[in-house]
Amino acid sequence: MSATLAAALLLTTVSGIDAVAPGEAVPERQMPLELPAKTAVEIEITDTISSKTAKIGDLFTIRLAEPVRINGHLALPIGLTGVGQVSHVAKAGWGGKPGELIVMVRYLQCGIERIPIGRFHFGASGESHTGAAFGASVIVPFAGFLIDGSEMILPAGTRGNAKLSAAVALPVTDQPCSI
Amino acid sequence: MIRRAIVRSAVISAVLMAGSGIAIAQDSAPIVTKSGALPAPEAGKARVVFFRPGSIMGAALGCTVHEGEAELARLGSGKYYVIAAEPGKHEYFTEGEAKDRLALEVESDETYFVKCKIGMGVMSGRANLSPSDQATFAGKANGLTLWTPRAAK
Repeated sequence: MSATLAAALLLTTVSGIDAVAPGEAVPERQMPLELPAKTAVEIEITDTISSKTAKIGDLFTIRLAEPVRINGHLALPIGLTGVGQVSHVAKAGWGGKPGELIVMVRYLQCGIERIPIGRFHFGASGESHTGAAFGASVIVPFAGFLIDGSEMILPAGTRGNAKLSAAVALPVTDQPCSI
Repeated sequence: MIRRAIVRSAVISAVLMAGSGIAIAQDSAPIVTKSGALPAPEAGKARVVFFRPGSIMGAALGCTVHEGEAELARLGSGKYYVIAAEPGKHEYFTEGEAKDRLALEVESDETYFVKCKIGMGVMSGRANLSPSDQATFAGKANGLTLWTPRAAK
C-alpha cells in the first residue's frame, strides 16, 4: 500500500503536475488578476492634437506611461497602447477667441481585450506646464497649451491620469497582454 | 481675508495634487464663493459648474446657457450656477449675435467647469462658452454669486 502511494507521488513529481484536490483553494498565483474599477493608470498622449486641425470624434493614440501592478504581479505593462478621442473642438476666432479642445481616453488594448478607461485628468507627473490643468477632468484649460498663437495644442508626450471604467480580470502570466 | 486664505489653500492643494498624480477634483478642499460652498455632487451624476467672472466687458449683457429646448442659467457678470448632469454627451450653447456650442461628455461623480465670457461681436457682444478648470474657478470664487432661477426667487 505504501509502495503504491510512493509510486503515485513519484509519478506526480516527474510529470510536473500540481494536483489540486477538489475543494482545495487554488494557489494565489493561479488566480486571475482582478483590476478593480477606478484603478488609476498613467496615460501619455502620443499624437499631437491641435484645435486648428482636429475634429470632434477624431481618434488618437495613447500609451500606458507606468506599469500597473496588483499584489506584486505585473498586470498592465508600460507601453500598452490605446485610443483616445476628441470630444469638443473649436478653432480660434477673431476678437481674441482662443481655440478650445477637450479630449477623452477610451480604452487600453491588452492582448485581445479592450480595457475601458475614463476620468482623464492632466498633470499627472513630470509635466509642470500642465499643472494648471488640475481638476479640469478631461478639459484642457486655455493656459496650459497655448503654444501656437491662440490655437490650443496638446503636444505628443503630454501625460495625465485616468481610471478603469470597469473591473477587469486578467490571467496571471509572465507577459501580460501578449497575444 | 479668511475666504481668500481658503481659496489660496484650494489652489495650492490643487497644484500639489496634480503633481502627485491624484488629480481628482472632488477630493480637494471645498471651494467657497460669496454664496457659500459648492453644493455636493449628486451620486451617480456629473456636476457641471457654469460661471461668468465679473468684467466690465459686456457687463450689461447676459449669458444664457441652453441645452436643447431648456434654458439652464442666465448668468450676469459675476454669477455661477451648478447643475447635476446625467453621464454622457451634452451640448450646451448660448444664443445671441452668434450661437456658441460646447460639446461636453461627462462622467459620473466628476466635476466640470465651464466659463462664459462676453467677447467682441459685430453689433453687440457674443457670449462664448469655453472649457475651464477648477483652479480658474477657485481663483475667481470670492467674486462669484450663485445665480437663482426666477421661479426660485
